[in-house]
Amino acid sequence: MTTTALPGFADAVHDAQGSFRKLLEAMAHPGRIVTVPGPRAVPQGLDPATASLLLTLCDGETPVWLDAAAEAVAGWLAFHTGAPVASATGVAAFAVALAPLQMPALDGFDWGTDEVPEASTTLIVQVKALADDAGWTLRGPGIATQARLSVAGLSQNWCTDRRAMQAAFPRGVDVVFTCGHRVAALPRTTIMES
Amino acid sequence: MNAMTEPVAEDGYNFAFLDEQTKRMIRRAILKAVAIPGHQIPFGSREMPLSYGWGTGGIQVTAAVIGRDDTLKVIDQGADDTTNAVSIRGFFRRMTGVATTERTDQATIVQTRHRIPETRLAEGQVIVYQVPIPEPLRWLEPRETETCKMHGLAEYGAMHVKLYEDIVRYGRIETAYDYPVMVNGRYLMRPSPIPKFDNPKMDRMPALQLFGAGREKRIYAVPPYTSVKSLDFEDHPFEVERWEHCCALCGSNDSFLDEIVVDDSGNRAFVCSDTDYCGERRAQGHQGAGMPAGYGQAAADGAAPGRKGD
Amino acid sequence: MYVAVKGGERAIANAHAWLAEERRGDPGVPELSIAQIREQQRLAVDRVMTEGSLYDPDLAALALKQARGDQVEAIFLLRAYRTTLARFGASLPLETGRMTVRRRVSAIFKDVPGGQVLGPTFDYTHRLLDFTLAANGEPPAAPVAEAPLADTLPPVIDVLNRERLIEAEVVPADEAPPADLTREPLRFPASRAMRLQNLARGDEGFLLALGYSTQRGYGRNHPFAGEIRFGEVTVELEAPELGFAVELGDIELTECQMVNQFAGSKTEPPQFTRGYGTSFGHGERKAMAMALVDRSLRAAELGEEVSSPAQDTEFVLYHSDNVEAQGFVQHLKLPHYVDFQSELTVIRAMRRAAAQTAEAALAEAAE
Repeated sequence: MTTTALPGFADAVHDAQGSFRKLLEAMAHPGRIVTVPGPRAVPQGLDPATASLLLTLCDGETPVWLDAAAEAVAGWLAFHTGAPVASATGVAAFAVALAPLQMPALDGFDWGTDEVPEASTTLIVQVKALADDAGWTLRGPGIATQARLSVAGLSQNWCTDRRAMQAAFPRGVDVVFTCGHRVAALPRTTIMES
Repeated sequence: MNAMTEPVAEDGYNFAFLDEQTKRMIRRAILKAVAIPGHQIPFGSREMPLSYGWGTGGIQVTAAVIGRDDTLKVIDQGADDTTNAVSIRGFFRRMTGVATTERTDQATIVQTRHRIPETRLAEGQVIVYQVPIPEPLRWLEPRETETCKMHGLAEYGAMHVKLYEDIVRYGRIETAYDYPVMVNGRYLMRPSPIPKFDNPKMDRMPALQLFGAGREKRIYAVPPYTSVKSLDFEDHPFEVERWEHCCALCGSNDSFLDEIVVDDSGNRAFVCSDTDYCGERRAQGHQGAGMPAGYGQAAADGAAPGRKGD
Repeated sequence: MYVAVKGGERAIANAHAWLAEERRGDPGVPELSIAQIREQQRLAVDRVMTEGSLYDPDLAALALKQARGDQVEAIFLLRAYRTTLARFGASLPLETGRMTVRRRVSAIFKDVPGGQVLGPTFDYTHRLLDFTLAANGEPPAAPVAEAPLADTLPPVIDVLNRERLIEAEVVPADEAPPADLTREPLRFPASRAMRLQNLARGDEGFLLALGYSTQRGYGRNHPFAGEIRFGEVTVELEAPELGFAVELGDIELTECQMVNQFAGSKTEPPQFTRGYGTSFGHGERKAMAMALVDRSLRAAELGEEVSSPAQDTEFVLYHSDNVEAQGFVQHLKLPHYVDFQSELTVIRAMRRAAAQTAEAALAEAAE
């Protein structure tokens, strides 16, 4: 079976809705780890959650930037969503990084403008491990007091850049981490303490 | 299977009326709205089978969010039985088949016009507000191009000046509903035309708050536990409406009361605007002083539109 | 006895049943068929198609029947149906120069190549009620010209084009295809393509009043009706898998090319400018009003002072849509008693405070 011929969601309407609702929960509660329904099969290299989010969010109106490790899924993505591949990080609605350590610097993506901050890129970063009992201490909208999130395989620079980005609000990028069937979000409002 | 072929509901429409492409577009806007609390996201609002101004923004947001497992409550003026609430609830029942409820604590999604329920909303619930005019600066500056810049620069001095002029002129801020709020210390936002009585409920609310303006094509949001402050001044702190009465039905002295003209000579009674809250209190044994004698007998069977010749 | 308004599903269902009965009217009078509306109320059908942004005479006729002849309601019905339709693609630009013309008039030359063609028009009818129509009389057959019109008539504006007396309308090769206003929100500054889309869907009465206001001096732009034409044009769709365009069929269309006040600069010699209007079917009033407003919305681009309502892009584009406008105006019918209660509370408190102040002043004066 070729990559493109792999089946998508078992139920395009309700799986997309279920996946979106979980992502919305994650985005509304930064740091919280949620589980999303996966498609019936995933192309090699993609975790079910990554594939699920792409099927849920992308279409012909959303250019998607793929890192080198994700390039092989371009055909699958185009077949199932019609999303064009973005030639550069700065023009992508979504960016998919399967190799977080090699990820371009955060300021290489579109942060939007002060007037149109929603024009920013949303990053989907697939990681080796996610945990909510260690790691960064998070505060901000969506968090009652504080939350924890530990993400494996990010560079120290990435964390420094992410903290620096906080000063640019409302400009910035929202980040969604995926791991297996699990998802956690780090919208631009979230303050990473340590 | 190609993602473009969707299962179709029995009556020829997709689940929740909107096509999947439209839902994706709205869902992306909602995610951005949650990530930038209080900021209005333009979206490709569709022409719905209900009139603009009658809740098309809220309906589109609800349609993009709702799933088979949800339980939906729809209120207008706090009541589940007002005609437009009945109509919108009927639309979703027909287009999704989901369970509906009048109980605030049993709903997963509450779509509302003009009120926030008295029963405190909990984490995991979503409240969807129908918004007529999303732009808080609109009465001060009609031009979109200008208000965009003002939000970009967080240049909200004009609103403070306007409120202060009220104080100078009337001795108080005369805005009674749709009272402007500051979200997360950054964006000035319209809470939709809820009475200012409801404003404090928005602050650090555990539920997710989504706002849809269909005609004006904007979506915005307040995530859970987010600061929502009504604008005020040190010497004129924000205050909410108070009544000298209790609810005539349930005796509540802390809910928003509707003033009902009970007879032709203009006598009034005061009852809870939130019909579920009032009913629940009465079920628990709370009682008010009662409606005036004779009131409601003709209204009790008022469901017929009252046609000529009857 | 005053009865508080409480709605219910039964009230709504009963109201709709009553509406259906009113729609039918006296059952002793034969019911209208869709074909009758389509054929005999054609201009109403055309307006509903134009402002409904959907070319389908049968559906527009159905909408008019369902709406009891209310045009804005019919437009709303058609739009709400249109929004559920899948989009297969965008047609190639219509070649109105190749229109099979039924009517073509120009006000700027006495005669034009191909001639002035009055066609089926209300112009020059004396507006006297025709009582023979009340008696269901068949009209006498219209005389047929000895020689048919040429297959296509060259656009009058080409005459000015050749002399370069009018601004050229060159589409830049790299211009992105226009966005679809029914899928994307309006954003400013709005391109001319977006403005024209908005105006084409815009309420005829609103555009008529705005266009009229420019003639009365609120942003005057010296219009001449360069050409108004009505007839059939072919709709073609590029089929990527075939590599060529396929004809989808013919539609009736009205087009107005307005020739306006000239402009020039140090680099450009003076030239006339343009305003453009169009409508589905036969809709001259709409097309002409649209052309006037299109031109007035170009004021800033042409270096003219923007001082009048018809030149104010945000004002015009945000208020032209009758489906939006009818909804918001009529939503005032919905209960607003919660907000009104808030206002009552505030106004009573303010009056109490004012009375106390007055009393205190009186007491002070008495001392």
